[in-house]
Amino acid sequence: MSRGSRIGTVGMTLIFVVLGFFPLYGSDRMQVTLVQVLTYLTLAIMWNLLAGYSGLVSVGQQGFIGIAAYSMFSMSELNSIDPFVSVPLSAMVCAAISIPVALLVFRLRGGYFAIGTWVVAEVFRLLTLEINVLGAGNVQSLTTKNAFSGYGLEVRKNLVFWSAWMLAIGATLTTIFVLRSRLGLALQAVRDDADGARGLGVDITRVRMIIWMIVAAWTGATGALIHINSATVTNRDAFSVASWTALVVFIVIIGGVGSTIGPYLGVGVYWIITEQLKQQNTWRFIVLGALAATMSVVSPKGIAGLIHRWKPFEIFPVTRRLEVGKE
Amino acid sequence: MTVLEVRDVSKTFVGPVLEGMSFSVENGEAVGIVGPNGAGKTTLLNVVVGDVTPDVGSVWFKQQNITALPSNHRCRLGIAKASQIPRPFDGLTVFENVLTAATFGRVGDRSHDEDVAVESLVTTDLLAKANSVAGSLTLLDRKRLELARALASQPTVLLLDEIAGGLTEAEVHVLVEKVSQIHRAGMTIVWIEHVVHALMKVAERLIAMSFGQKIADGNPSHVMADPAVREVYLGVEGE
Repeated sequence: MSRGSRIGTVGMTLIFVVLGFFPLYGSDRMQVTLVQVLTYLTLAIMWNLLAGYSGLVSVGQQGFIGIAAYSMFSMSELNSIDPFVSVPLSAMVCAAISIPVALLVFRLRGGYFAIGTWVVAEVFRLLTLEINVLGAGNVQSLTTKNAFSGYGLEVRKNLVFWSAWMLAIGATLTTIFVLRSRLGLALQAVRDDADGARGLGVDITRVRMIIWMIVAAWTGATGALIHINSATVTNRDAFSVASWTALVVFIVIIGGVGSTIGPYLGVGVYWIITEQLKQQNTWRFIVLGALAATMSVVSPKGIAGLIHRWKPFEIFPVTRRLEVGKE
Repeated sequence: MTVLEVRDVSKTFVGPVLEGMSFSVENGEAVGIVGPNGAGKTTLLNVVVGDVTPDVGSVWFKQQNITALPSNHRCRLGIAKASQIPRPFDGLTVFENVLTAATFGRVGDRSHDEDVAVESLVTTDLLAKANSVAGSLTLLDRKRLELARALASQPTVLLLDEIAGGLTEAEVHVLVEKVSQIHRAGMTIVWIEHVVHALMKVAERLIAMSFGQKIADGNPSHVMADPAVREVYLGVEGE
């Protein structure tokens, strides 16, 4: 491991540790913002794993956010399961549903795959409109009578924060673990040349399915938490392509697609812009979109690519280096 | 022992590409396949590795019918191909490229993956570039990498599809040396090549194809002297 990588890893660990104690010393307002930043970080890490490292450019991840929102709602509000327990359970629901979805969309390639994932997400949204027990499209709330019974506001707020914190840490560790494993090698080979990878013995359907399910699960867990935080489930918002895919794609493109550090840099930019353009959701969107578009022309590998040009090192080393010249 | 056998294979794309093509390869042999453009040579190799499914006919490997097996299974059984146009995994390093083949294309003890990968880089003189990103390689190095990846899967039969194409005379010479060296170490080789003099240095047997059919098969100098082969070659290529 190079010196730069070691400093990066230690620094990142420190940041996460300090963040973990935030509810004890930080302001409430900042804590609300941090939950948003951490959930977007998790979504960005997962989309990067899917699109940047596995070549599966999905624009239908909002489908899993929506499914998780309704799954969390039906578990915690309609059946008395603890809402925070419903987070991992919703992740499992998403992983299970992702299997038939994959069987359908994996038949498609490139742009058709992207559109296919979007269509599937939209189909799930329309399906939830037909289910009366889920409110048939009307705004549903998590109430203190059911879902939040036994939870004070303060406790709930802190549990949401720590859950978001754990999801982001978990997503980081998952990325490093996956990319350093055999699976990571296969995924990147499939991304670069699927037929070539198959010719060298890689079962491409299997490796794509594994990463697809992992990402669906993490995206679902994040989706469930986002809606515990907002305490409402609105059909259009839960399945919003703009909020849960477009914004996430912008973040990853600005930070660096196919770079482990990219999502962190991108979410940093997202944070700054959100702070500057509070209350102006449309402008925030326009600025981030314009930045992403510019970045994809100027530096297709984002800010991470610019840094790499200046000084090549990996904060999280995932490249398998061979030490040569000692024989 | 016959390791590889293609039986009566036909394949039609827009027009017929292979028509009742058959050939077999013995263990340890080096077989060259020649023929003018459009004779169906590349399609034939694609049928062998499983990238193309024949309309009729079958492919056998070590007495097993593998016609229905996907290419990743065939690679693990022991068939590997180096293609005419090398397409490395551009985002991975040279070492990671061969490691992919050693890890997924090879059956055996997983703790040897890295050693096998390194060995293939040594054989192809790529060790010094092990940590370079594959997308940055020159054509010759890309061709070397293509060969190294095939070797790292430790195949029984190595298929080479015009790997000398596009190289200078000196580079072809180096490549021929490499292939002979690999063959002398016991590898069974099937080599398609337009650069016939390169092929003649390695192949112990030559198969000539024209319009999807076999027109000659046997001792290289006999095949090249065959009137049918001369007509196809001299007629089409004007050499």
